[in-house]
Amino acid sequence: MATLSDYRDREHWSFSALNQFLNICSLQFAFQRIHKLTPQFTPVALSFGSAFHRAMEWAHLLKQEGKTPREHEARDRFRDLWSRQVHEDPNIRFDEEITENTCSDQGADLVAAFIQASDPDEQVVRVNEAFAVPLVDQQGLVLEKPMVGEIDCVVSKAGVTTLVDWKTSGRRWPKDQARKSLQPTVYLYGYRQLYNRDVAMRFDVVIKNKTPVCEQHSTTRTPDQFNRMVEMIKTVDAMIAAEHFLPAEQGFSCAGCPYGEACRAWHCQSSRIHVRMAA
Amino acid sequence: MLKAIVSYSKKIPVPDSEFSSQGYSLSLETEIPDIEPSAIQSRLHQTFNLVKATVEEELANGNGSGRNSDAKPQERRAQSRDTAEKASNKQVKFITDLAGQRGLSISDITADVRKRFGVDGIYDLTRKQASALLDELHGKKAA
Repeated sequence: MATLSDYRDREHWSFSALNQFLNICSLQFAFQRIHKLTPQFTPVALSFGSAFHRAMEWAHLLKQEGKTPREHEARDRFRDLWSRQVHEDPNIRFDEEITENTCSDQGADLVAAFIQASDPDEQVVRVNEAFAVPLVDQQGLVLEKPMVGEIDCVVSKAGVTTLVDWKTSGRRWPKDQARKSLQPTVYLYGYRQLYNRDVAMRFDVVIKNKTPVCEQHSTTRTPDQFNRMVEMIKTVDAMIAAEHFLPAEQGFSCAGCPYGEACRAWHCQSSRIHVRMAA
Repeated sequence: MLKAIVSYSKKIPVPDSEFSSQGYSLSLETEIPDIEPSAIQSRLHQTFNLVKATVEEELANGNGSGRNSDAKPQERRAQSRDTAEKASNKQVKFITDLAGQRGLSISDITADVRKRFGVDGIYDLTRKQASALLDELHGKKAA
């Protein structure tokens, strides 16, 4: 099977790039993906999420082999992955409340909670399935850049296939979050293009309570929603070509943005020239 | 003083990958005093043997094929896959455009390339495979 990094070598679209442009901040998108500025720091959530995913990957690969991951092993696995992650990246930004140790304890609890809540009748079909598919609009026009992504897990129960994405969250998800999310549109589009099958996608979310809680949110998409996504991508492509990048001044992610300095200087002509030179 | 560059290279097969090889080479630059031709030849012969023996020893110690065999099967497949350049986005766009004109969907063409080329999808085709497929879709070759 091809890996995500195989597909990332070519120019492409991804859910994270599209989401960053549309829902986070188009200027952050430009700093990271067009000008390729070095981030001032690594947000702790990014590193934490990476270690969490690798622990989940380990647990689901075991499950795929017909083995049952044990809770204490899962805890140890997360702690080990987290420790390695922290040592490999000295730029992770912690604060007074979120430290290396609190993350280690919390991650171990979250992974253990997932193992406890795991459905024994659900079969793991694939783990980390990467895809690259052409984006085709409703008139049949094929865009030059493909959509690439990686599905965390494909599961099957009673003959029904479901794509699963693992998430951690600081709060319970609103009921319509899965319905509104762009991620299932991207992933279900990819799966449909590859296998000509319409399936459902489920978010397996573990809430970072003192005692973690697991919840599942399933959703599906229609061909009309796929067409809408491709139209959005065409428009975003045009905006990128025209360098329409603006700061999301009241964005929720400003506080933890690793491009804060470049953003504060963005409106100064000299800074913009500097940014272009850095590209 | 004469200057000589002595090189030795060897190609070895990539494990689990037919028709692929990896090359290993070592070059040594040395100075030879201006002496008679037979002495120069002897010095070059000695140097070449030294370079050759070093390369062979490194490979025997696992620094050639052994490095690959340490890789996980998935990584090994990725390494061998990387030896052939992948189809460009433009090539894939041409393929999908032509396939669309012939009433084939993306999933049809994906199923076809899986069956014929043993790849996961259209973007896993090599440039050569994509080129052959384009020729076929253009009708230059019989399908």
